[in-house]
Amino acid sequence: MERPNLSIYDIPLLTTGISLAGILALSLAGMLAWPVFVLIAALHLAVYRWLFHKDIPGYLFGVVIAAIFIVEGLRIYFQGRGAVLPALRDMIVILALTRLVLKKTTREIYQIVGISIAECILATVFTISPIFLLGIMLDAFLTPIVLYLLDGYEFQAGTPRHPPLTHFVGVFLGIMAVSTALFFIIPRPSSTIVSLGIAERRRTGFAEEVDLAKAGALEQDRSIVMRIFWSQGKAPESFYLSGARLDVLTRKGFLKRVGQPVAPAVNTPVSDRLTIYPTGLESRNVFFPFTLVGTVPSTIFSQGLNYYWRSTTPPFYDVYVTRVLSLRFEAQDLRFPEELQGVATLARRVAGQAAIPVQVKRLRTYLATHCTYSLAAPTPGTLQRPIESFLAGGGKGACEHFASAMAAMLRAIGIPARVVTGFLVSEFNTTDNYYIVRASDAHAWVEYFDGAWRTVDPTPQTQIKKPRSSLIDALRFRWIRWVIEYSLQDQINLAVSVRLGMPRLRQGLSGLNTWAGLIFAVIVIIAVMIYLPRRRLGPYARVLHALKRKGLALDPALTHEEHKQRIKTEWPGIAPHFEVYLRSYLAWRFGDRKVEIQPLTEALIAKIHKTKYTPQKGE
Amino acid sequence: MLENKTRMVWRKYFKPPRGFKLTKAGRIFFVFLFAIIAVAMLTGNNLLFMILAFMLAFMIVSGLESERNIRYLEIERVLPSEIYAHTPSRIGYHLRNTRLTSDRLVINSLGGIKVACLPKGPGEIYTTEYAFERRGRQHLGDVQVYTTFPYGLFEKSITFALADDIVVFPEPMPVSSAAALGREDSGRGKGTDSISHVRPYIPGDSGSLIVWKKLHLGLFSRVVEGGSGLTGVIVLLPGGELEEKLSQAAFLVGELFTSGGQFGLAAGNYFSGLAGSRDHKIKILTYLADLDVIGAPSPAIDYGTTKLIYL
Repeated sequence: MERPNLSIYDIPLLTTGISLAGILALSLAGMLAWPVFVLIAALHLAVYRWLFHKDIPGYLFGVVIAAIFIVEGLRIYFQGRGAVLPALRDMIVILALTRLVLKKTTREIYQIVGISIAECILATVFTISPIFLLGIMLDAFLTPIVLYLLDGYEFQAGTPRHPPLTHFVGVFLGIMAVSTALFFIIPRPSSTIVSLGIAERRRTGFAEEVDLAKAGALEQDRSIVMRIFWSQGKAPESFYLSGARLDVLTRKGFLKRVGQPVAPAVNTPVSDRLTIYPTGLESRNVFFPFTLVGTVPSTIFSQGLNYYWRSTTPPFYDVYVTRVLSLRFEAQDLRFPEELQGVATLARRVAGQAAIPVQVKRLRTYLATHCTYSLAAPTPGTLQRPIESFLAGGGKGACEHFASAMAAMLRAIGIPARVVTGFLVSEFNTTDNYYIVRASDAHAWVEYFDGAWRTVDPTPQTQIKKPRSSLIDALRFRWIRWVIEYSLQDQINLAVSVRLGMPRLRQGLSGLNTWAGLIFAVIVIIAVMIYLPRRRLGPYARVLHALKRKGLALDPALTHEEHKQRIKTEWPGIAPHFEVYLRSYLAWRFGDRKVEIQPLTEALIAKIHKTKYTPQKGE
Repeated sequence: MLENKTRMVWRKYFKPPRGFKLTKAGRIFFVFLFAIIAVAMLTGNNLLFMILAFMLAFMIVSGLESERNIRYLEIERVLPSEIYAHTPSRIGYHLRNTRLTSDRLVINSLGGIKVACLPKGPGEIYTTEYAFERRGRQHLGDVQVYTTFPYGLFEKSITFALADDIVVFPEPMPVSSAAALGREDSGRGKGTDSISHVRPYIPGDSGSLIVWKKLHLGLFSRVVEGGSGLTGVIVLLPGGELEEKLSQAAFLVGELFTSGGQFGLAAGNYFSGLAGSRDHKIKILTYLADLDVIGAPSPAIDYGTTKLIYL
């Protein structure tokens, strides 16, 4: 009967535990519903408690595998490519359960370990959540123990020694430490061939184009789409992060201009720099506040008033901006379609004759008092002329409706205006000092020209959030930033920062206080005193030193021959070795023979250390 | 000088060199590893890189543990005083680790010896039985100690440069010493004789030497010592089967030595002289181990009145 009987460690517990760890990783990665996981866990418990040593015939394993392959193959055939990964998941789970239930010898336990590792690998393909690490870490803790016991069992000689559990805790910590270091060192590919399992960026909230006739209610998605560090300049309490400027007004609303790109204001002095981490955004638009001066990386292109990344959005980028407002407007910013005469009439009536800021204020107040902010879907009757419908009869609408109506009314009274879409950023995490941008922060506002381009937000219920501390989000962000999005560029930056950090380290050390410097110096001196004398000695002096340490002190002033005689009388055990060494030493020191004295010295010193010295009285 | 220093450091930490082999589990581990490397490189999925880092770290920790397991091992070969061809000899290895306890070691020389646990300290002698294929002088070279400790994925070995030259004596081929001497030995001998040991019956043994009490186990003969004093010179004659003659001679040397008498060997111009000591026995067996050709016996050798055993 091939059954592992592995001493103090409970192999059934470890085996079921490692199998469950793989399933747990899958479950934490969102690949298995919790009720399914609970059922599987119950099955594991049953195996551990009652079935572990049941001899269920092994050929069943082959039958089950064949059945799984056929069923899942058919499933992929009929359901298409989308079924591949779920089929893979089902196969591996059923395989794991079958293996666990059937007969277990060391070979099968090895297989269970392998399946568990495979489950962890599969889990990584499906998730970016750090929680699934729990399953992987449990696996990393149990695998060495199980392999250790299996190897001991297969050794089949004597009684293997079993170290305490703390040993394996140490091993686990060692694996964690080394793997953390390796993770950052292993070279990352500069580009990937297959896009598989990378964080899905479906949530956005941001829409470049304003669709005022959008059917269906807007969702209040709280998921985070960006985190922003205000790296240079004074961080404001809140700011508008623009993604797209829409300056073509049609009957249905504002559209973006195509063609005639506007280059960034490259010659303007930079006032602020922001580092943006778009962790959950699908858009290729370049986001920035105020007026864009430049970006790093600089792989952007412009179309109309908007800027886009040439390929995919980088994992993080810097935007350099200026708070100096643009002083130019174009004829495009004043165009007003004939079909919107109703809007024009209303605008003129509301704004009246006054200075531009007063007119803007009047229009804004009108919108706030006559229209209602709502995320509900617009009524079907309003879809053909959404701006007019919104303004007439106290319309209901979202920020896009307010912004479009405001911009249209401004144009109607001869003020250049456009709609800007992006995010209103006001949530600040004080734990790591960055802004959090959620999908629900997506917003639309208005820019109008009054000597320079200025911003006005006509939406009445715009809320500014108070800064708050969130350790969990800070940790989540670090996970995304340094694990999920860790890239070749980060590795280069890391190498550069290490290189640059050296002078800083030296500078830092020079700044230490006198006492710290003194203590450090004393430690160094003691270390040097202990270590260096031995190293600095010549080969023969080192031998004398070694003899002295064993209790046989020889006067260096005596001749080699006298040393030899004294050793012969006082320590006969070492004398032959010493004589042989002395011949070589003298040949090396005074003769013209080429002798490798260092290894011989090391060998003699080692012999001196190993040989027992019992002082004997000379004649 | 710099080269010397580098070499010394290298030797200090890495000598003797380590051998490295994958076990079956290790090969599967590597298949996993390379699959993950491939998929991680293709997809750029950092979580796969994390798994890869875990596996590499596991390998490194495993390597460190196995290195710690064999690092301070010392070994010496312990050989028996007499080794005969085709006869199992007990070869010993004095294995010790004065600094750490070592686990799951296999001494790989002349048949593997498994050591489940070698406690820190003076060590122990582990033995194995080995039958040498041929007589003569042989060189026993390096000894390899390997371990799959701790996780059984890799087999790390350390090779010790042990050089032992041994003389393998001819395989003893039983022949009745009494018959060879042409003597009808009383077996029980005189009153002072004592039984040395009992051995299987050889054709030619005296009937009085047969142990009848053990008849149910087969035929056994007594061998007497201390006074029976079988004395003779084994004379090897040219011609016939050399190996058979040497084997019979080796057996007779053993028998004569055990009987306590004086004995000698003559072959060609060689005559060992007469003696009954152990050194004399070893000297004759060594000569037999080295002998390639038997020349005609020299008439110049004076054997005196000693009985001659011609082979």
